[in-house]
Amino acid sequence: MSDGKLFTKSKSVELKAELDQAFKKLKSQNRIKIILKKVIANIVLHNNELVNLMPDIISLMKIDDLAIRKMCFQYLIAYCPLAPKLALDAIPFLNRFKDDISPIMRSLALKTMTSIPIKEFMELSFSTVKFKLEDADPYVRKIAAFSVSKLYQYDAERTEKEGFIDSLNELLYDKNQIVVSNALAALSYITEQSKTLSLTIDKAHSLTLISYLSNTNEWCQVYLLNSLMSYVPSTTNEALDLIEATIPSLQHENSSVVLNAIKVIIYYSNYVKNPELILPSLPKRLGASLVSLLSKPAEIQFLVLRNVILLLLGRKELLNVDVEMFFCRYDDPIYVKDTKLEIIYLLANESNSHIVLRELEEYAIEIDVSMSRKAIRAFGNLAVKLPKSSNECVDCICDLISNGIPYIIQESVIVIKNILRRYPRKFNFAIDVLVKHYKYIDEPDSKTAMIWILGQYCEGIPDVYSIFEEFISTFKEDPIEVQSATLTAVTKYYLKMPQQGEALVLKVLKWATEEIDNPDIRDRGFFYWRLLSSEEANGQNGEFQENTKRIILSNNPSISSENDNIDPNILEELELNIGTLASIYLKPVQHVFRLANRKFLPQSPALQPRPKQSPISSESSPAPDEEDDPAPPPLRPYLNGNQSDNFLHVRRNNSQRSSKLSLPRQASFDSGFSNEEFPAKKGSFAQRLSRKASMITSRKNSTKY
Amino acid sequence: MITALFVYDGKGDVIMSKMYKEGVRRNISDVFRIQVISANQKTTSNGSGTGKEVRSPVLTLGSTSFVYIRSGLLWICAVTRSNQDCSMILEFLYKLEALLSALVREGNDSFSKVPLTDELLINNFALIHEILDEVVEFGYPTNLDISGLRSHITSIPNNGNVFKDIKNTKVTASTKKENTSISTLNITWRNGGIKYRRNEIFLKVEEKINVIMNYESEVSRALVEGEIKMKAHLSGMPECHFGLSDDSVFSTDIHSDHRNTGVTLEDCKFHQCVELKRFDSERSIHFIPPDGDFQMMSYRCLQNIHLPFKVNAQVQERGSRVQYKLGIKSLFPSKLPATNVIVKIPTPKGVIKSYSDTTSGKCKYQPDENVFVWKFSKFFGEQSHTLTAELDYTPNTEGGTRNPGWLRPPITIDFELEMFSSSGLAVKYLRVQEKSNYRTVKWVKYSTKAGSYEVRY
Repeated sequence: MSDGKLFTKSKSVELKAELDQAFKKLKSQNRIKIILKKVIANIVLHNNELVNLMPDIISLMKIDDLAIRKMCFQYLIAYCPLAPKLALDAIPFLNRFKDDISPIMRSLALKTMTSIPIKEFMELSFSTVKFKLEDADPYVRKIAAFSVSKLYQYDAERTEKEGFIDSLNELLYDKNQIVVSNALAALSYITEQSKTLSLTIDKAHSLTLISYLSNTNEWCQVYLLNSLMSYVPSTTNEALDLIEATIPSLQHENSSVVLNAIKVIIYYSNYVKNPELILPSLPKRLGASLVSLLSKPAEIQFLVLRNVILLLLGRKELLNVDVEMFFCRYDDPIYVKDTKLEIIYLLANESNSHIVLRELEEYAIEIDVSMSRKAIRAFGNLAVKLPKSSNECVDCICDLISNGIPYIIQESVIVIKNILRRYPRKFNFAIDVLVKHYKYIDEPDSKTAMIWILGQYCEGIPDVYSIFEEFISTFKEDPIEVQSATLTAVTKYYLKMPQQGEALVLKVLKWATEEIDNPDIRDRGFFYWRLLSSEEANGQNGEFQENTKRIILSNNPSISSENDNIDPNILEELELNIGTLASIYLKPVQHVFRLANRKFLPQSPALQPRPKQSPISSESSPAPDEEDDPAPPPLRPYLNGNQSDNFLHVRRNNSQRSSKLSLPRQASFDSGFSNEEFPAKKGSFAQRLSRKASMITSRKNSTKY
Repeated sequence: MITALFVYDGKGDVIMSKMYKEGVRRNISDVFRIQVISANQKTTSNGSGTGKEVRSPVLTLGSTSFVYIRSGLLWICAVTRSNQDCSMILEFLYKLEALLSALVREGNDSFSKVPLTDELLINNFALIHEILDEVVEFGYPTNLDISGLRSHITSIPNNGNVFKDIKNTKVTASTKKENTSISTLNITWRNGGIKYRRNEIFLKVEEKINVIMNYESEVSRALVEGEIKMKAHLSGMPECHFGLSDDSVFSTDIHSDHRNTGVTLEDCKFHQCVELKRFDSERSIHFIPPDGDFQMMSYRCLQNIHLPFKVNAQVQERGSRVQYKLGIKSLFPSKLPATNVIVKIPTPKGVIKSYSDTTSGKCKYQPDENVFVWKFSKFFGEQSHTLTAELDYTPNTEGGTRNPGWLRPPITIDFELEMFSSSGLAVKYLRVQEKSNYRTVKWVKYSTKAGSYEVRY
């Protein structure tokens, strides 16, 4: 029998007529059921017109048939709020059903009355729920537990005042384990909503709850695990016991159980000194259980991978994973590949760099353009992060460039610029490779990078004049960051090779000061012009532009890999939120969800100070005035209307947009200029190197806790 | 937790909806349709195959998040407010998909999953609406096990094809007991009072092998993902005890660098019915199975993998001509046949002329996919076959900047192989104990399939 033909929008008049017909015939119950199915279809289809059927539906509840009554209840829940007056006739029925002999009927009545936000129904609910919490049947008690949350949703104050929350607390000691865990779920809603209420459990109870883990269903296990977050261990041994008791749950097939178990374990690890030394197998077990979740569907993989990143940023010592497990598969969706690439970057070290680089090379020649670009960016980041592997990285990049594929070249330029700054003079040969392919470079970011390289290394490039000429031919149409890079680069060129450069620098300065409307570019043009034409420009003994050179050609501060010192407070809170939506965004919870309550580690004598993450590079201490960082991305990029369908993309667009707005950031790799004026550059560089990690750092700047 | 749930068909029309909590209005479903479904359609129709890229499984707008999965052409979307447990929501969506697909399943082929379609859902809409009301309380998932739901869902007897009991006849129907207390044991995945005339348990070890090797068939990475599935037709409340062959070890147990020649399971995950504590302390697997089909455990394996196929590939490019020489060798016992063996050999775009010759199987050039497809209906063990092929193509020169030449994507192999487990895993025993002490018939089946079996050259 197929219900398909019943799934249409109907008019209440028609259905009413059909009902009248049905009563006249034999076997009316079956006919009524079919009509009610049509009603259900209209609930799904969101047809408000059926509200006119209210009196007829209410009278159907007289029929003693569970299926019919069940469907009537569905109708009541959907339509009562639209016609509060008419709905009142249903109250006597609910009042009768709530004490029905069948537990199913009792729970259904309870569910229905608590789902209708009308005063009279609420009155009935308040008087009913209290008794039902002590019902003889566990199923009814379970429904009653959730009913308390429902009432809390409508009238928090009254729920609290009339002692419902205390009664719900009583249920935590119920003899039925399902009731206990569902009561925990119901309570978790209330604590989530309330600013004052919070769940605390004592040691004995926490052990009881753990013992329930072994014989309840998967969802109950999640609620039980979650409740363990409310126990504060007072000694290290207690915390260790709890960790060990939670470990078996890592083996569960349900990813939610596993992630919540990891959350609990990480939470208790805060109360143990060096948990990885006391439980040497722990890092391996955590790693293995996370990695095996990668055989789940892509969406779950993505969530797991984001949490792997979180743990790698904050709890490296507790996670033992093999980088090879995160190599991309051909058919991974792009968001999984992206996240895997980030993990590969985080896991790469001197000892595994060889296999990592070989793998990245595979990605770089893949058909997927964005993947290939990201792989190249990863090459660059690795070269900056791992000095010993930098040779190999640069060799790979040069190989890739020589294939002459445009998008690879565009991306490589940016990467090489970073490498040149990280290791001055070491890889000058890469410039020659790039110069051969300069014609392909047309994207703003790549162009900026190339122009910087030209200005910086002009004396070593044979054809530099004609290349420059070509690049400046589009000066007036170029985006601002390219313009400002051009300005600086031609000035440097002039200072280093005055004969060749003079004509160019004059041309560019003239354009910048006379034809460009952007005040920053114009000012910078004037600034250079005055510097160059100042009486003080030449040195004491008449050396050519000696003083100007000192300003403009000074050494670049060395860059380092991205700042790993993410605010520990943020990591701490995210670790308490493993597996939640916030763990996908890896941002402070309140920035994504302003309604969320803040979570923090409760104090206890056993609470250990957070282990210090050793930064990869010691120079990466944050610059003092990072607040100046000109372009912290908007708080919730997902709000950007039509782009929000893919936040990875949005984020990328966003970073592009912000870099357009931000002249100073551009200046960060303009020599000299930035040196004195923008010490914030390290911050912004870190941002360019690793977008994701920097989301966290830039948050830190904008919010000061 | 979950505030509302919507199921959309491929066009973006809501075919199922359920509001669990206050906090969002019904028309929130439009937001998802506009933001995700139509955005996705736009990109897929604009071509260039980038439709897949405009996706992330989560969309957050303000405090409202949409967490969604796709099932065939359908979209199943959960709406939540504030920071909720995403792992639980995703896991719920997938379990729900499985549950629905089991409910609307028509045939009896219980191991294969029926893809959901809008038609199937609409044909069972009343039942599904009722199910949605039952599996989640106030937004919190409570129970998604079919057997647990039976006692609550009234419309089951009405729909004859749903829950139709499997080939083996069940003697008593435990479903229609309205007035007695509901079964409220802690075991939500099994009802008491199940009875079979013949007690049987079917076991299926399914492995998926993922390999990347180079042209000299040196393996650069190999991974086996295995699942042990069961179909239980057992009476009463049977306690099962399951064991793997003695040379199987769990890698977390290996201390120091002791090398093991047998099967090393990197990690395994168990169905909710398995007593994890007991596994943790005694390494033995005890459980009371749900009635019918379920996946008992899943595992991964990295060491000592038996590769079913090896491939030698020589690909030479001479100007606009490409020459292929491929040797494929089967390494499993000679009596076993691999079925549905399909080797896909990528070619450049713009092929003008192609030629291929094989010692066995059929090879055909497929212009729409740019591959040679080499097919065998059966490929027995310990055999080797070769393919030689040649093609001429026009190097695509138009639009120079966007055309990166031929990137040599990997050769892929697809196959199915019964009675072979590439990890070497073997089931040693499965004991079933029940009060009534009946005899159980046990069936075991192994199979290996190709996951992503790639040869880079």
